[in-house]
Amino acid sequence: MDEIIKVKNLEFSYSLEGTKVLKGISFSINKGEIVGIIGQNGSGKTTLVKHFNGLLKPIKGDVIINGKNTKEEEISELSKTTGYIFQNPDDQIFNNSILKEVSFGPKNLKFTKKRIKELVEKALKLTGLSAVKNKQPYDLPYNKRKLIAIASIISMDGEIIIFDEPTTGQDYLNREIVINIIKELKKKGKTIIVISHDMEFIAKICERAIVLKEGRILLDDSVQKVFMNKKVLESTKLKPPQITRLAQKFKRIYDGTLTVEEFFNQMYK
Amino acid sequence: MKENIIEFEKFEWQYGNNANFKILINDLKIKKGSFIGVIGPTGAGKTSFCYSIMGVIPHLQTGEMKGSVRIGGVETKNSSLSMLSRKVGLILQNPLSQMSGAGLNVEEEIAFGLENLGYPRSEMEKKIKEIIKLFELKEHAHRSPFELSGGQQQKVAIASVLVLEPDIIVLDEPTGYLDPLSTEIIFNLVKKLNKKGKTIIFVSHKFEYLNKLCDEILLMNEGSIVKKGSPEEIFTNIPLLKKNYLGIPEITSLFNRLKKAGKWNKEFTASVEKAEKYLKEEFPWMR
Amino acid sequence: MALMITNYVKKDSFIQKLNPISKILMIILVILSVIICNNLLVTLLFLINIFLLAFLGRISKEFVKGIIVTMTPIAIWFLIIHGIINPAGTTILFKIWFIPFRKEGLLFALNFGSKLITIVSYFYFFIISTYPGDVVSSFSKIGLPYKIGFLINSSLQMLPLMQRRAGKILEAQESRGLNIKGKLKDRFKAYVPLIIPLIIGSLMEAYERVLAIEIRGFSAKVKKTHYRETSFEKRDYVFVLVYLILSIILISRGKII
Repeated sequence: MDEIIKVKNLEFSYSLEGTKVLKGISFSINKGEIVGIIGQNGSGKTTLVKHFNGLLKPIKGDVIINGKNTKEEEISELSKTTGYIFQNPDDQIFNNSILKEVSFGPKNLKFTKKRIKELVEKALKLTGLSAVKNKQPYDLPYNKRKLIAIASIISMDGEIIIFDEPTTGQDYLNREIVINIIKELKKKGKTIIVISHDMEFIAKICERAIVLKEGRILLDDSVQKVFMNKKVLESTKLKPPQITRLAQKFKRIYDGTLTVEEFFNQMYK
Repeated sequence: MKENIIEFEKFEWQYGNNANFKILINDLKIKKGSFIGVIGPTGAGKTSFCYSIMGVIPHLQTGEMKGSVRIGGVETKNSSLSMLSRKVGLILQNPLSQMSGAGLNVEEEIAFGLENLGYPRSEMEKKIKEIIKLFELKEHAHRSPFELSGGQQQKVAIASVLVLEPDIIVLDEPTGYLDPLSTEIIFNLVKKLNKKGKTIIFVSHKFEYLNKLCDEILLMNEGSIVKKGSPEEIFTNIPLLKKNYLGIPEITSLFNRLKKAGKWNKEFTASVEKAEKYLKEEFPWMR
Repeated sequence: MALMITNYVKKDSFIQKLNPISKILMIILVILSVIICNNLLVTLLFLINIFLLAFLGRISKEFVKGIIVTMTPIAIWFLIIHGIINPAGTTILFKIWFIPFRKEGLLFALNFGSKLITIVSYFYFFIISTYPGDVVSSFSKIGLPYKIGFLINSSLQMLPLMQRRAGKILEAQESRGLNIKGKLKDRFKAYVPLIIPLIIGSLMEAYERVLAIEIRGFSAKVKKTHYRETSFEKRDYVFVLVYLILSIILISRGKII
């Protein structure tokens, strides 16, 4: 498998004399993986992923994206490979139509007109915004604006897409839409990184999870194995999804059960 | 029998700038000291419902109001926001925007409401001291509210309205921006306040907490209360949840799966603890 | 990450304990004396005085740093511009390369520039030595509208928040390939995606904040009280009196001269 992200002994702090936010982190991610990054606020999740598109540069160690060391690249260059969807859509929306907003990224990357049109249309379709593309972004409620932000990064067609808390402030329907978007991107072979506090969401889409605490990796394993490690999870105050917790109360049921169907099958097959 | 502290009667609200959206609550009574959860999809009218209890509707919003909302017997439309602030406290989703900026530290932030209502200084000091102790905010008392974490800010926001001693606390998705640890802290804090006799109205998407803590759930959609019932009644009712675009708790789904396979014909539950008990009782081979 | 809230430097001395009104009165008296006397010596006297006050207030490090950073470029600019092109200049004092610097222009720059620097220093001194919370209470104590005090105070606190928001917006747009380096024209164009979200976001937050303060009785029709007490103490009377006498002497002497 191709390694698309490689992090080697990464250390980072926001100021010279300040405490280290990342204290020596190493791992790699292969092309096409879906990885969840979990941990409490302040554990360094956002700081870590900001290294993947060059917003932050390591003070020690290296981050290699698609073979390029981020220390030697500009953000504008790295943003061709890594798309980063910020948590708050209102920190980026500025156009008077959704169509223009979603076209902004690919235009900056100087794609051909034909390619921009294609990519934008695909992104709008995937996020279910095609019907409202000529509307003002701020005429839509917050949770729909979050989809606009997602579309405006997807349209840049990066190999890696980072979702920072995509389900906060989302109701059930929109959450399902986000899950669907990620599954579609996975089909296209994109590498996806998700920061989330929503463990059910992580269980539904991720294969692998990295648990961060105070700037260090506590666990890096399959989602099942991570949810089975009660000790570590408890120390970070994270709770596995309901069905997993129920499974862990029964000896006959696998502690890494993630879905209702898996639970049922173990009872009757 | 406890008295009704919130009463909606033939209440109708039409926003001045949105002709398509209307709130309609024909008859709703909430008893003093109860813990009420409010759920519903985006745009169901949950925030407007919170605003009408606080009196933000009609006092700070433009639109047309019919019928009445009574808080402790007082008609909100005949009262004022500052009068109502002694009866109701409202907490919003975004912790940052609730920090007034009136003072430079947490103590002064909490004092803001008391200053506005003209409390004498000695009384202020006493009240602030009490609330800081209750909320375990002592180590932050002299720090700026703006440099606290979201969870701590939300605590300060609750302390800041609670210091005016309202009987009712309305929380509109207060944990929406918070991480799991802060979420737990806020829910526990609110439960503590409920035990001290406060009436709680809690809007949230976090069904598991609501199921554990609430006496009753109001399910809202399209500006009205679609259903009022016990948490288990609501969270195990799959057709009702589906019809109103709400997620189905995984535990409920499990019981539904068992029922479909002909293995279960008793009542459902949405809680992990009860599910464990039910399954162990019904299927001894699973123990 | 510590966030700087306003420029107030927390120290404990009589300077910080002074009522904000006393400091404002002093600033008014100093400005009047400097302008009416129109005398380089008087101006320099007050300039030295403010450094002395900063020293007494134990904020001399922050004060000197702030003044040097902001005022040095202005001072140099003044000297160069007036030294070279002030039409009053006739006597050539010295030449740098082939550019002549004239005495009259330099004197004008020195005179005018020193006044400007002195006055700015007093304002800066006020900002870093005064606890913002005290401004509101002292204002309303002498009958100035509470809402004005609140507005000044809360906007001072909102500034760092705006900066933080601007930082996030910059990161979000850079992640979308926005290039803020480039040519001047491109740079100008790049401001639009930065400014619009900043304005919209701040407005939305301000709207929510209005709601949050109204439900805490902001518009209550009762006389407000203050958690932080500010009073006019003996030291305030002495302080203001000293400056009053000093400026009366200087102004009257200045007129005689």
